Amino acid sequence: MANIILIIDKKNDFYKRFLDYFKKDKKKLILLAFPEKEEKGEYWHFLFSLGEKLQKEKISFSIGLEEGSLFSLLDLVKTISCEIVILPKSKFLLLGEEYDDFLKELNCPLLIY
Amino acid sequence: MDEYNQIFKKEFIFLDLEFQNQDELFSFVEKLLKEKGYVKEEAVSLLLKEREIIGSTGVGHGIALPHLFLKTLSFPLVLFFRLKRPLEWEAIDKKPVKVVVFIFSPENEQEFYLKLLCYIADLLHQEEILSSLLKAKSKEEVFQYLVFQKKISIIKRYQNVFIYFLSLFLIFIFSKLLFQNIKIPDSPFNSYLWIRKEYIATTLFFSMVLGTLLFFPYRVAFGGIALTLLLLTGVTDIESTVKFMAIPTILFIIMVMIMVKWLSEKGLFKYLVIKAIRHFGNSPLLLFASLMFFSSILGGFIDEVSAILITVGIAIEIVRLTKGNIIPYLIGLVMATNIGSALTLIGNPIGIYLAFAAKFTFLDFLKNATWLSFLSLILTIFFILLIYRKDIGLKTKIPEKLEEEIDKKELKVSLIVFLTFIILIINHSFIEQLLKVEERTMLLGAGFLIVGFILFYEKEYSRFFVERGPDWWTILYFMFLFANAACLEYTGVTEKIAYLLGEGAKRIPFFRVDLKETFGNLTILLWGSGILSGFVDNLPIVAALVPVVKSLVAKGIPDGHLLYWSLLIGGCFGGNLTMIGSTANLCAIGLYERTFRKRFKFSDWLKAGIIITFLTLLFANILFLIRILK
Repeated sequence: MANIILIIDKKNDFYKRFLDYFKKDKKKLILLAFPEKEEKGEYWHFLFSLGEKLQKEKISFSIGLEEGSLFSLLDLVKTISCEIVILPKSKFLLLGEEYDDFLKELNCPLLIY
Repeated sequence: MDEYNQIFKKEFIFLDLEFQNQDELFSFVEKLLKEKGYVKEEAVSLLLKEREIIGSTGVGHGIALPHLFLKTLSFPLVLFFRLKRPLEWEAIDKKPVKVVVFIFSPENEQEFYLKLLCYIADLLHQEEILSSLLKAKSKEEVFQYLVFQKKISIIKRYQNVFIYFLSLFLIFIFSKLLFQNIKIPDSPFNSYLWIRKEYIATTLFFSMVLGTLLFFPYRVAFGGIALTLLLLTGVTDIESTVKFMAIPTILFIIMVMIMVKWLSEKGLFKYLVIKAIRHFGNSPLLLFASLMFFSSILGGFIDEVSAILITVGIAIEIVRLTKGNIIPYLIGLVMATNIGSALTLIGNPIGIYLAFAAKFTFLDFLKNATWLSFLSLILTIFFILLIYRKDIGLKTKIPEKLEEEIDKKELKVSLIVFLTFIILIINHSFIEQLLKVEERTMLLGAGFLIVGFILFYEKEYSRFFVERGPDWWTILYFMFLFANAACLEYTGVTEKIAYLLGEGAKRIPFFRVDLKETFGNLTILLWGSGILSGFVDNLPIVAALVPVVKSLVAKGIPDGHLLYWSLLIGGCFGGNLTMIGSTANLCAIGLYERTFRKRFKFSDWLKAGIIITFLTLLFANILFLIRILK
């Protein structure tokens, strides 16, 4: 089963559209968050609550919380077979050398919301 | 915390049990819950399996959190397992799982169940706590970590804030007492007005240095705030602040950064290192030594950060091929680069700063720093090989593909440009005399000229090099730093420190009374800047000490100019003491952690760091002594 990596940003509820879209497909969703240190507890709560809803709808999913830069995400994308990465524009600095390297090394399509 | 105290039970902590697979673990849990009478008919094992089919509960980093609602439960239950043999769990990062925490809850406790899940997930996600749980020797220890450690971690989170404000308070009190009690004969800085400015400037300078040390990502913010407070307290004014920012030095650094980015994109440095290593690297030890040597030379002619990024990149390729250990390469290359950065005027920002502050030419560097740095490099290579001789990888050669990636035509152009720049820099003093222009004009002129050519050559792509070449974040930090440091000179802090230093140097025993002051000051500055540079970035140290040296030189001590060189050598060599000693160290470690996804330990560095720093500083001190006696 192909994996869809969806990075969640609580402040940008555009992710709901992707969830609705992928519900129709039999894809496995990997819901990730990259919160600030002080937001970690909130994000775990958010992800587990979301997980409970998805579980009821029998949608295949996994959740996780990561720290660090775009490179932490890149490592994860390289480790798992991934069909697409969906990234909120507010979570990372999408410019500069690090972003250039991220795009160069990413081995799947990237969707920014 | 009390609510969790009731949930975690020592009887449900299991350490180092072995299971063949997930199913066996789930069956064990079901049997346990039935034996204890918590569930009767529910097929817990089956429910857990179904949950894993919907999606793995492996949350990464070797942790799994299987969680379920169980109808027959009357209160939540938590079962902690530390596995002897990690199990495959289809976790998001594909890593096998070492810690499994089962969370079961009655259906009517949904809010608390979510809260509990978050508490456990957040707790286990903290690296220090996970590592402590993995090492814990008893159930009691695990219980303590699960229930109380989070509270401790909150205190730990704010310990840097506490250290920062306490240190600043102590510095404020100490500097106030110190400057009130130092009276330099016939100095205007003895008045109350200046003493007030002195302790404010000192406290604010350290607010920036400590801010950099404790909250590195916010270093520019600390610099900006310190400068604002200097202006608002009337210690300095806008016009002086702009002057203190050392704009010519900043412009030169910007020009060098643009040029280095361009040369690096063209593959010049990679090519030079590959060629050199192909020539010298017939054995693992020679390969390692030659890589260190060329990293050092690159460090002297470009900047230490670019040099380390190029050579560590090559070392990573070598280690991947040989399956060797990267640590010796990393430490050896960084140390060689730090020492090499004192080879020339352009190797290190402190070299550029000294060139402008003390009006040194490129030839002055060749006469005073290059030979000393070169001899220290040989000593460093010898000792690094001695320390790590058993850890160097197998025999290898540089992979062909590295060379194939470089465009030969572009390479020729970049080589010509680089050589032109070096020739202009070497002869800047001669050209200035010929054209009868101000000293150091050609240093800046060479930078402007080369960057001008690059911008023409790259046409519309040139914007890329201007935007991405200079590390604008660091440039802004340098401007704030220079302005903060210059305030110490402006308010007379450095003159008073120089006075104290001069008095202290007189007490150092030395057999030649006429040279006692020179040797004493030189030794204090060399070791002081060296040791401090091991813990704080070398530029603030040197920026603060240059005015002190200026005051000492103005007093007319014999061979006073050597004090500047002792600062350069101390600042560059001292960066080897710890893994945070210089920007090159941090860049190399960042590259290592990004590539290998491992954390670099402070202790990995310390053994070689202490030996090499002590030996090179001692060696430099002896060479300076010989120079003084001559």
